[in-house]
Amino acid sequence: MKNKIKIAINWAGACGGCDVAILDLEEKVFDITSIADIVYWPVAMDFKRKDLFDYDDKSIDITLFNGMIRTSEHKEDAQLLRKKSKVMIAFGSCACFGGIPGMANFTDKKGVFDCSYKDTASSFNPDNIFPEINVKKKSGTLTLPSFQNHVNTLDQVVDVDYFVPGCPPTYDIILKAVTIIAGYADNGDLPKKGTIIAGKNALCSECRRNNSMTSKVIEKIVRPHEKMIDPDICFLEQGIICMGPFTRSGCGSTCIDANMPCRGCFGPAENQYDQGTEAMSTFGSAVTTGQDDYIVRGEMLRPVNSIKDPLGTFYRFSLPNAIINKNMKDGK
Amino acid sequence: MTYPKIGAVVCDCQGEISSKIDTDLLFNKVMELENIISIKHVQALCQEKILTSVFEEFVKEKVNAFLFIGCSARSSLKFPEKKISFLMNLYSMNPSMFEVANIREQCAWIHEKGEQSFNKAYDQIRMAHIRLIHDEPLILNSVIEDKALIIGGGAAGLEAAKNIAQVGLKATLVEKNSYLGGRIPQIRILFQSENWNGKCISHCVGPVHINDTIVEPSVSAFVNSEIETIEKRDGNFFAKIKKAPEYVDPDKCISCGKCAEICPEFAKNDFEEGLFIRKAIDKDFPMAIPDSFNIIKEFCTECGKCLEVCPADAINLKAEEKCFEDYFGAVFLSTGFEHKSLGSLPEYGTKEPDVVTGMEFERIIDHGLKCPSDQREPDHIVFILCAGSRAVGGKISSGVPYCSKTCCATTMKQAIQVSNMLISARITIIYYYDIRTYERTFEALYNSAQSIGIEFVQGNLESIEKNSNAHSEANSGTGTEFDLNKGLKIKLEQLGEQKSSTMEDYVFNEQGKLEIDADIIVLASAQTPKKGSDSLAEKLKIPLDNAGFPIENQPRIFRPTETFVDRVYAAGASTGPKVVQQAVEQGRAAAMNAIPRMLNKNLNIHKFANYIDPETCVNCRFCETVCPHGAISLTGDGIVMVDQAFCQGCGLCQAVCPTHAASLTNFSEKQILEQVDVAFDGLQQGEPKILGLLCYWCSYSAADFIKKYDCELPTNFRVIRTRCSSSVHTSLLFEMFKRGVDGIIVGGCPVNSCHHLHGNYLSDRRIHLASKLMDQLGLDSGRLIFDYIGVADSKILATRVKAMDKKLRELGANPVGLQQQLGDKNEK
Repeated sequence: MKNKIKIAINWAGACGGCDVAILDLEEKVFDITSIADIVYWPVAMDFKRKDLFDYDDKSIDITLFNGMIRTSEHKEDAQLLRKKSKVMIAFGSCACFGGIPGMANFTDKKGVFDCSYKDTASSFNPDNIFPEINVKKKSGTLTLPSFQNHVNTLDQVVDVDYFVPGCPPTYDIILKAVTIIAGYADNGDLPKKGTIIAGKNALCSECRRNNSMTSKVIEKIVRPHEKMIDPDICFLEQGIICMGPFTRSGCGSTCIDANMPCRGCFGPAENQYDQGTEAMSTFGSAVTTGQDDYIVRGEMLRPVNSIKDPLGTFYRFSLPNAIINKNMKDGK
Repeated sequence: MTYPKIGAVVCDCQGEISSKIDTDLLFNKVMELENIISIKHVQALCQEKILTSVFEEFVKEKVNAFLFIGCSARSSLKFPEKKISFLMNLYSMNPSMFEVANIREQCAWIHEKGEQSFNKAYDQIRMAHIRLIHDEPLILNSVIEDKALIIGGGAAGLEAAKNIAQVGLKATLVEKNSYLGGRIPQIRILFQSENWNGKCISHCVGPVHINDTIVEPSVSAFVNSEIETIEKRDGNFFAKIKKAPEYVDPDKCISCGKCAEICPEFAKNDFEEGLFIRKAIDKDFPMAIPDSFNIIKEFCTECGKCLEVCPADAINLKAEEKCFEDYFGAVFLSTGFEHKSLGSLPEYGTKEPDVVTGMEFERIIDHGLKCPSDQREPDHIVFILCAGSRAVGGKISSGVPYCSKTCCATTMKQAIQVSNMLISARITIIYYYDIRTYERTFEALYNSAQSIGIEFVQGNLESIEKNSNAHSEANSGTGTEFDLNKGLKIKLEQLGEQKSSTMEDYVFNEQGKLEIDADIIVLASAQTPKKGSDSLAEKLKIPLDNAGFPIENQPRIFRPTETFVDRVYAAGASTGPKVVQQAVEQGRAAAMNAIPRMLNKNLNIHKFANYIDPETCVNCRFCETVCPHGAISLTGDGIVMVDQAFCQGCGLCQAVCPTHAASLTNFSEKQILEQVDVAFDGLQQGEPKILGLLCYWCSYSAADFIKKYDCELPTNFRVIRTRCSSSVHTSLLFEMFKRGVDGIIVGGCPVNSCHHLHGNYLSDRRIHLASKLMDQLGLDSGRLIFDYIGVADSKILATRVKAMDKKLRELGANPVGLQQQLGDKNEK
């Protein structure tokens, strides 16, 4: 038997779902362990950060890194793992595009702290105590990682070789990644750097509702709970915002098969700038009553005005990866 | 890809430009630009002599692309882009391969001499140059078929077919009815014209008009036929036409009428608006053309009696439906009108047989004027104008909002006819707000009607119902003594000051109410589009207005009968209410639009056309949704395709496409961004970079007319002339911010005036949505504005730019661009 390759799995700013997704491989997880030794996986195995320091540079073959970069610790971990690994894979939507926590970029550190420690109804903080990096206590000084102003994607902090999107990556996508790992273990073959381990085109290209699209305008935007959704007709056709046209394929349309519209966790497809601006251009054009003669401006804008929260709707998983990726505090 | 060999011309415009901008220096700088193989410096290129010598030299030097540096391609009165296109053709260069740097209207004329204005001029040249480098010669191979399809064989359709045929082109006329002529034969007396108070008998002029058309050898007329499908293919229209079975061979039939005499079955007659019947085998009316009997199958029992008596052996009860298909170079919609159905409005009492529409009344007149219910001679005939028309304000649900313009005159005509036929009958005309008998003929008719004692009552109709006192004792009636015993009762409500009718026969009571009894009530109801014309429009993808009529292409003032789809013409009452002469005018106008196109065979000069990349297209069909010109469709193979021959290059598809599969040749996103990249090179550090994306026809012109309207623009304003305000994708606007543009002004055509139907509205909506996001992202939404800027709105443009300039100076540089400059990845 050949030498096993060495794999590290790390958890940065994330919910843990990505790690669970790996465990969800069930017996397939042994496919990994048969070809690889897991040398670091703090969430599941008994490794400490200290162990990482002890590894030689480039001694880890592949790192699966999930979670976004928010704290100094996330960043250090990323830099450290980059140094120790030959291949760095951004695993999951947070690492790839910032993910759900990336939406925090509409504000900054102060906004997040004010919300979390002061302004919410359940907060009682009369002394305005906020987390600090160093706190002196009698027993000594306690330190915490620093909290950056904004969320970054992994590739904004370190060089990334491959991207495995998904919130979390689906079973099939992880198996695809495993195949790559296996290929590397076998003969050192790797795909082209920068490859996104998913489809290429937008999700509609693999959606089974695709041929139900007509060329009608979207007269009114409704939210999924506001109507009975026909399981065979395109969501857009039913006035429900679906991120399918603005999202990379490869997930296997699992949400859509569960009769829920795509929310965009696979990030933008090839050729797309970012999910939000793409979606705004399409919906801004196509959401209309279509009766454009002798119309008053307010009436005309009404259909798009029903899109209340473009940021939350269109950048649910990818704000830190967008053209404008954080609050710009223009003129302030 | 082959790079263009550019011939450039720097024009001084006899000092208009060179007095403000150092054109010698410009000349030297332009010479250094990529791919410039020839460059001339002239006093005025528009002078024929100079022009000829420049282009002859270009040809010798094998120049294949032209960069003009001088006046505006849009607004120059001497050297507009159309002229450039023709020149390019003349000197055998592809007419796509030119760009113009407008340094006169948008630079020399509006800025003082100096470094700022010189740099702006040079930036504008760089923008035009970089775009030219990536222009592609657009070659369309489609050839326009020499055959026209005319749908509807009424006044307009016949006229169009005749004119097409007279120049040697082919015309296929498809008529739904069993006869040609449309509404003409139904109306006994026709107005000669709006300008001449003469009348024509339709069975005199009708057959002549029809025969004049169908005797033309290249006209093929099909009655009882319908368009099954029609789609665009290779720059032409491919139609399948379905012809109902010909149970009577029109070629053999001699119209002797023996069959109808013996036929035992009666049938409904649509020609008579269902008021009179015919036999199952019959002619709809004696003068019908084609001169042949026909069988209405649903009423025929196939008893075979007609077969026995036919001397010509013309009848075949087993005849079958025929289908045929063909390619056409032009399509005419002349589907006519029908009366607004008032059946859903109980106040009009249309269930009563003696309540009829204007067209039904034409048929009643033609049959001797009897009450439809019991064939009595009517004593009192009441016309109600605006029945179901001008329904605005509180009446909005009770009809159409517009005035059908013909009904007042038609009513006067009919009322006068009645007064001639039934000397003793009384005639009353009930009108709503006013009587609208415009022009010489119609006003003369109105005057006649008044002078012969026709009663006019102004009032708002409350109801029409069966008179419960009809034919009973003559003592309990309301209204005047004349009104007893009539079959119908009209209830009116007073409108305005007038308390009594013109001859004072009718007086509103204290409560402002009035009841009038009548024998026949004629509802002058609105002309509405023919049923089924909307599905035809859908197949051809021509946009309709809210009333269901086709919208004419912009500038419609100079393009009557042209729809938004190239070579689809709409004529006659299918475009809105018409009298016969107007329909004929339109048929002829439409033919005149089509004839040069069909004779030329080649497509018009195109520079911009969309292409959809099948590799990245995901079939969402949003491009098809927004395309105002019907150029995009889903093929049978499930691919979304553009027929470039029909593309008018607006780029609305480019801005709606979620995957950037739709791309406009010669106005691609790559070209736009490349222009942005060089646009502000000459701008002083710290000056706000303001970019105008101004639409091709309107807003760009407003920028050209800054001087004319005595306005000012700052020198830090650069303009890209977009195909339509809606050509530019939102992602591109954001990308422009990332590339350092500080403020963007998008200008579109004024309301109701977009050359691409709704590009201005789409833009307004998109930018409205984008500014909501900008608010969320903390990027001042004042950095991106949209406005409706017409040609004469230079002041609005100037005000907007100045306000933005002021705002941007307060805000400082755009933070997205700054972040990009500093490097997004500096945290690595």
